[in-house]
Amino acid sequence: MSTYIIRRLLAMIPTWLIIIFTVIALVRLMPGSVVDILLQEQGGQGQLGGRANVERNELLKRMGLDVPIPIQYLRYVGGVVQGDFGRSLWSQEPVTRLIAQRMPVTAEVAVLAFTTAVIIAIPVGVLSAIRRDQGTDYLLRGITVAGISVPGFAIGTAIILFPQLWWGWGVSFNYVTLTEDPLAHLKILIPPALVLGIQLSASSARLTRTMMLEVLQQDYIRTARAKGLIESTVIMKHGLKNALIPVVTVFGGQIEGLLGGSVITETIFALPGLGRLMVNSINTRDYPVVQGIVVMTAMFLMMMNLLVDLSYGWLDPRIRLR
Amino acid sequence: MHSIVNRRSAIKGIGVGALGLAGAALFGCGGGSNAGGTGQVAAGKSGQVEGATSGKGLPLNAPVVQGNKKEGGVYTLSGGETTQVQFDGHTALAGNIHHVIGEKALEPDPVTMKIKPHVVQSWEVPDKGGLTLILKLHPKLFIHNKPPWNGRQFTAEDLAWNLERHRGLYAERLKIPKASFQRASMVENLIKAEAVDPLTCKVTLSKPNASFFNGLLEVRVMLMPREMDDIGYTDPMKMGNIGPYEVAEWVTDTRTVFKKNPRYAEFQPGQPHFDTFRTIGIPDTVAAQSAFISGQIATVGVGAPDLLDAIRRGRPDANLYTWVDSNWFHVRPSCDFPPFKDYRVRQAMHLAFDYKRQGDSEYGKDGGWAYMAALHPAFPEGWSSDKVQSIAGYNPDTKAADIAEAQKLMAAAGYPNGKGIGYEIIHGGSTNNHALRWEAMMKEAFTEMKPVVKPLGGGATFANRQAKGDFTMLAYTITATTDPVIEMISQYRTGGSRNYGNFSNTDLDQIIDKTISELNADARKQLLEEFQQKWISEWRPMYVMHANATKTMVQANVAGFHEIAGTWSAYNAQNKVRLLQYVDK
Repeated sequence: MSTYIIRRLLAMIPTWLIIIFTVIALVRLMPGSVVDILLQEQGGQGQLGGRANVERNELLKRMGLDVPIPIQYLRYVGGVVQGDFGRSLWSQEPVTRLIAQRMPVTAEVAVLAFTTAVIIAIPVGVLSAIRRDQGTDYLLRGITVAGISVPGFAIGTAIILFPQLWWGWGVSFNYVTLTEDPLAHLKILIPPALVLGIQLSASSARLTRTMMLEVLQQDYIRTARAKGLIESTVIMKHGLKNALIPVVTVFGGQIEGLLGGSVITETIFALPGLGRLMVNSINTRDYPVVQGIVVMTAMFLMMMNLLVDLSYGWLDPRIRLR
Repeated sequence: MHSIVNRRSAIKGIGVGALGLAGAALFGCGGGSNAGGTGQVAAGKSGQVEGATSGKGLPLNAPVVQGNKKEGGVYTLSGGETTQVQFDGHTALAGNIHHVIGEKALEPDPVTMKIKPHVVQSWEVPDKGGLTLILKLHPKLFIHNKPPWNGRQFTAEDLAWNLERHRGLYAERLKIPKASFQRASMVENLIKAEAVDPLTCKVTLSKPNASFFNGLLEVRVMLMPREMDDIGYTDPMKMGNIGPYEVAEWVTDTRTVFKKNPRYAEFQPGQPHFDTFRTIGIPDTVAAQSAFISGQIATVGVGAPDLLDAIRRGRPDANLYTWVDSNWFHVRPSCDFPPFKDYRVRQAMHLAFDYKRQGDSEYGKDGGWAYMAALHPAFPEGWSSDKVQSIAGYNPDTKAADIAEAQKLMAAAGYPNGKGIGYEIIHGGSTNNHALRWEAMMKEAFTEMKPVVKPLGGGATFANRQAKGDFTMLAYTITATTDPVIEMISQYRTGGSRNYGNFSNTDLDQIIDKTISELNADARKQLLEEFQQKWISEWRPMYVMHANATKTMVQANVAGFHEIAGTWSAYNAQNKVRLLQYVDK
């Protein structure tokens, strides 16, 4: 197992280097000169997080753009290896600190959304499978198809607007931290978590149903029933556990969707998370922050994929990772 | 007790004889009483503000809220993004922290545009040539009670520092590019400002500037304490100023909380009314609407007709305030593009464009927009909306004939039906609808013309190309300055800072140069009239689609908003929260 983990970690390195190269290249592919845009947008106001000179050459130097691209790339990689993702062009704060400040909000929403998705997807998928081709099955399948089809921003907008217009219940936009007011904090996070969770649950519920249908036709399920086990044990212990491997794979992959969805959700629900930092940084052309978020998110997702792979062995002892 | 400053007493100096009363009107038009600084907008019998602009064709709907007024409370607005990254009050492009915590030297009446004494309580023009100005400060201006000021008085030294810094005189020392001081033209010709005594500031000009006091009205010419350069412009918690509220809490992307400045009432008696003023970051439009309906925020902008209906359904008791803002939308041709160098082509496109169709389709049955040609109709010298509407091209009743004339002009210029004219209309996003309507109407009128709308993803990309003049045509919006001559200089003079289309005309430049130095009001008005006439009949450097309508829904329990409403209230409405208070309904 440890050999497998080490091999996977080593295999991540080239992927990670390619991602960094792609991000750096994309910044330079932006229409017009990034430096000129920055000079106009922020240098034009004479401020770079304080009293700094905003002459073009200095900005080039500060951004690390005064050397050839291969050198820029190597410098950035060297910095990242040492935990230095650069500094915000606006606030001069280290990118790592900015990300660390915003990460908790995004993580909380992601955990809540993931929990919501699991709570919805597994029972819906199982129920739909054991009620195959009955009214319940058709209803649940219809709902999940709708969940897949409707984009997150539309669900978010609906959750914000319609309860307000119909019942006078409004989402709170005055964000408070967990330590300030735990209950208010939770009330603020639940609507965006629901939006992301509903979306995530829809496809997972469909997959759970499909896998359950397949598993329920296996010989060992027939054997379990023949042994006289009660139906719930057959379904949950022998059926569901074996149906979960592909579901877990999909869930793992959808963490990426959760982080991507946070960009829209956090903007709609006015949450000060990583997604909103990303949007603001793009709007203000704060490229070190954009690069930092993309690179760190990529690293996180690669680690998540590894964890998903490792979970297979626990779910199905027949699988041995070498 | 405030001094009463009027047009004549303000200029009781040795220059009166030379300048004459007409000149005095330009230099010292701070008229009327400033008691309480509550503006000059009066409630009419109908409970609506009687706008002095009605004769100019500008709509103003500003209900006066009645009820038992209460002191205190928390007033909350949506602040959009609270990551305000432009902290320097003198170089900021847009809304800035100092717009909330600071003050301007003078205030315009938001409806009549009359200058009202404010931080500068009175002024004199003591020399004949109009090269020296004496500004007297209000004696009860105190900077917020935090280090390094600890409540010290705002003095003439602070004012002098502000005026010189706005002019860009410190650019080299501060290592800030001179071009960053975008409001430098508001204090045109200023070469020196110095404190004569703690409350008196002497300003020296290189040449007369008839627009000087109007420049001080501009919403982005904010004052700051002179220590701000040492403190820096990154941490809002360290910032201080003389305004009604001081920063109490700053949470990036979440909220900014301001608490009442306890000594502000010594400057403006009884103000501010709310104990706390708070902005919360709500970047999404729908979220802001929902926040308004649920009562979490006090105001919400309602531009589109369907949005207004939705808000009315959700919050039927809220009040709608409508006025024509100082913004103006336009489509600007590049005069470097060969076909657009020809006046006939530019005029033909004007005649073909249907301004009424554009305005009505954007603002719906409630209207609110105004016709505009060279100068914003809210300028006292600007042509009224009604007058502009009567001119060929603008007049909806003669549109068919105008289009026929346009086709003749286009053919005479060598482009029959627009053949051979292909161009892009770039925009940064917010003016997409204008670009699209322009494209559609040009294609209707000139079947061979090939206009193509090209959205440029980010505002910065658009701004970059605009600044470089890298376009054939663009759609954008401008916030009018507070003086028509300053506006003319930046928009139309050869090399003007916002003359993005590189329009150049010697005759026009000469008129502008004459106007800025003209101290005789009648002569200045005549020059402005000539400018506006030639803008239409000889130059046609751009197409102003309309002056912008502003529509704001305000919660029913907020009183005093009618004092904010008006053309010149843009940008610093947050500064005017001091005028508002809650009422029991």
